[in-house]
Amino acid sequence: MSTLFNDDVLIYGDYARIIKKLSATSDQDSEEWKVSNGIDSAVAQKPFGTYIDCLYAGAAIGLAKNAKIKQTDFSAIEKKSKASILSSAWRPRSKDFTYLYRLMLLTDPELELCKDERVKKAFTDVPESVTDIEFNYFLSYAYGGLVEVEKMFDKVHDYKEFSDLISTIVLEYQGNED
Amino acid sequence: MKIKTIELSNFRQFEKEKLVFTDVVGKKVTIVHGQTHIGKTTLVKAFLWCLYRSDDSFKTDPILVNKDAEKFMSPGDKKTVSVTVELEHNGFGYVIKTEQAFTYFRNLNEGYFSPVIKDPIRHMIKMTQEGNPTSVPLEQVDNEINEILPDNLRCYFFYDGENNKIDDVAEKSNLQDAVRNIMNLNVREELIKYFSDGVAGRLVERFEDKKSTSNFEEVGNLKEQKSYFEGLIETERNNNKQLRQNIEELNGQITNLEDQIDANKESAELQEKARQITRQIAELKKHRDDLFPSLLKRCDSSESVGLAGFFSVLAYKKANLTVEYANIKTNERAYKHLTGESVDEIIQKGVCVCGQKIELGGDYYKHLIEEKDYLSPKDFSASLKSFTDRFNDQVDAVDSSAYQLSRDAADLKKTIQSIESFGKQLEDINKKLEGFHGDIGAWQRDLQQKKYTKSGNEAVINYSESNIIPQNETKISGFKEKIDKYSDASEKNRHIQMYLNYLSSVRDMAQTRLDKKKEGIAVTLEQQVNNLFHAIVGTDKTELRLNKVNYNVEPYQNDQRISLSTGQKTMKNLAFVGGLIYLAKNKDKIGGAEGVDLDEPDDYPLVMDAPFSYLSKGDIKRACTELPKYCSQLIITLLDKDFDLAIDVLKPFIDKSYTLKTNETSTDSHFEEDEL
Repeated sequence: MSTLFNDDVLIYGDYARIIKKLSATSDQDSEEWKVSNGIDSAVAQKPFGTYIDCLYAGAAIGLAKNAKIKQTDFSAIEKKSKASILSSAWRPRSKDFTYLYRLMLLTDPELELCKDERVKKAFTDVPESVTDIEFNYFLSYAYGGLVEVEKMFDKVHDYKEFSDLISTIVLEYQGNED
Repeated sequence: MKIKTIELSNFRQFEKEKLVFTDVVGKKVTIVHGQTHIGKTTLVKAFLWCLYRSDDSFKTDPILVNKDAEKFMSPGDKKTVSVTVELEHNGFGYVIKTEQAFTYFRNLNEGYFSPVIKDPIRHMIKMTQEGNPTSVPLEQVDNEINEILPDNLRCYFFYDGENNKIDDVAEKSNLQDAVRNIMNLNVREELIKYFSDGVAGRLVERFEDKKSTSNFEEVGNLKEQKSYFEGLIETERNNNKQLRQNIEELNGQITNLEDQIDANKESAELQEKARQITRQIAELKKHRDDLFPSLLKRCDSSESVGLAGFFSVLAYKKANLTVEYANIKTNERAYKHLTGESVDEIIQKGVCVCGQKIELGGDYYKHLIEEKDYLSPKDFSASLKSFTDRFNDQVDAVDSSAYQLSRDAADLKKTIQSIESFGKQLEDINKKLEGFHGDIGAWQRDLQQKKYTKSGNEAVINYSESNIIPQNETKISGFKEKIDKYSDASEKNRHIQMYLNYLSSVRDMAQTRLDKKKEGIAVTLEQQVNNLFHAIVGTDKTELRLNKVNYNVEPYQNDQRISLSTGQKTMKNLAFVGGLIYLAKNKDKIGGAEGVDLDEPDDYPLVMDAPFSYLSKGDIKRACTELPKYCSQLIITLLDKDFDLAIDVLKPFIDKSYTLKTNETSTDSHFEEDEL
């Protein structure tokens, strides 16, 4: 089991592997996502800059695709580390994460709250008032999203497949237009 | 010079007298003898007065007019004194007449008559060689006299022995001049100067003036420059020759290449096509390789949209929040102007604005607390609106990005397909070209390069032949012109220098001859003076040594300088004068002759006034024996006592002899020719 990054941020298992694979954050045991130009050569590529960008994309994709993992999948150590993830991962992208978190609170079907309560919760100061349960909910979306991201890029082995992936993403987005 | 006659008119004691001098070969002596103070010296002075218009002795008694004539003159009367000498010199006959007018008047203050003396006037008639008389202009008379007998020689040839005024002619300071004049040394030296450097107006200077100012060094520089530019042209021509050879070679290579390319035209077209496709593939690959990372980069969540932006907007859209939470937005409470803090104040007061009493935990209380959540600062409907507004803004950005991404993805795909397609075409062409190994492109490039080189070479030749060579030729022509000009000048200078060198050698030669002449003169003069002296003295005990610079003669016996008696001095003088006459007569034989007029012998008469006054009888006899050997004409005045001694010896040489006698009726004198 590999651990990610530093003492404050601890992500374990496959999710750490995915982030290492797709983000440029340096780590010695990272996997390479190789993509060929189709004819001449294959080169290692990284779609995301930092692990936070990767995690953030995972969160957005998880929400959009409703691809959260079960909370029971979190190990005891992971649960302990949530605070450090919040404090470290949240901080540099707090505004973006806050919006996603609010969106999750306003939309997650499994959250047993009425609309007024959802609104009240979403727009009360976060993340200070976030409870373990609510954070676990968000992290399960983020991790679920990472799995989706990996699926997307695992299909891509050359530039052509990459252009197909982009076209697919765009089509998926445009297909949901109002 | 030979004196033929002298005629005296009113001159001192001579009222009207004429003497004719000897003109017979072998009898060259004329004697005039008489008592003392009757006119012997006056006769000699008359010669000098006629020739030179002056004599020192006349200064104390300037009235030359005949005393008897003077006696009969009345105030206002005029008497003219004249002396006429007829002589011959170098084949020309001369008649020289000097006259002086004396006009008498009564001197009231002094109480006696005195004459007004006018300057003597000298006339000269020169007989041409044909015998025609020509009057010599007055201003030319001095020159003519000087030609006949220079003034400074007169004391030697008109010798005053009686008064012994020339007590030692052999030691006079003007001896040097005398010898120089007789032997024309001055003229020779002047001529030498004419050939010497640094003397204004001389021949050398005139040649020097004609020298061109240009110099050889300048010509040398010009030649160097000309040679340099000739070298440039030579180099240019060689270069052009080489370039032409190169062009010839290139022409051959170009033809070969063109043939080669033409023969492989089809392959050439295929290769060209392949090249084009290769270029296109390269461009496409570059585009692909630029596009992919840019597209990949836009997936990153740190970008303005990124995958996170895409999917968060997608999630937002799916949630359809506007519809879901419409109620919250529409059921906004009415307490628009109240804030949460206002509600807290109402609760604290316990009475609502409507007057209802508020109890803690009561219905009104709960109602107010519930309402407070919808009031500022916790107006969740406003927050929700702000939240959805933000997402709506992001929707626009993502829409735009979606379009861009879609287009770029399609571009990437199309690019990759094009690369594949061109790759196949290239493969087909290469199959067709299989077995053909020539590189037509390289051939064409080579052909172009060769054509370019050829054209470059042609341009260089053209520029060289139309500019560089003509320009340098013009320069060379200019240099040549100058060189020719300066060379002419140099040639002229060379000739002038030759003339100058010649002049220099002429001068050296003339100087050598002059030195030889001087040496000859000194030797001859010394020898002749000694010969004559010893002959007159009758012994050779005393040696007369000649100073070769000033020609003074000094007596020595046994190498000791000695003093001479008056008689010995007279004999020394006679010997010296004899020596001078010898020099004049033998100019052409002494020290070499130039073969010019300078060496034309002169024959001077010797007019001697009482020369034997201080001599013994023996001396007189010896003198009379020797002197006629030296001169062509000897006119001697003698005291009667000396005449008696000399006559025996002189008789064979005497042509004429005159006795000077006083007139019976006056103080005048007259001459009577003796019967010999």
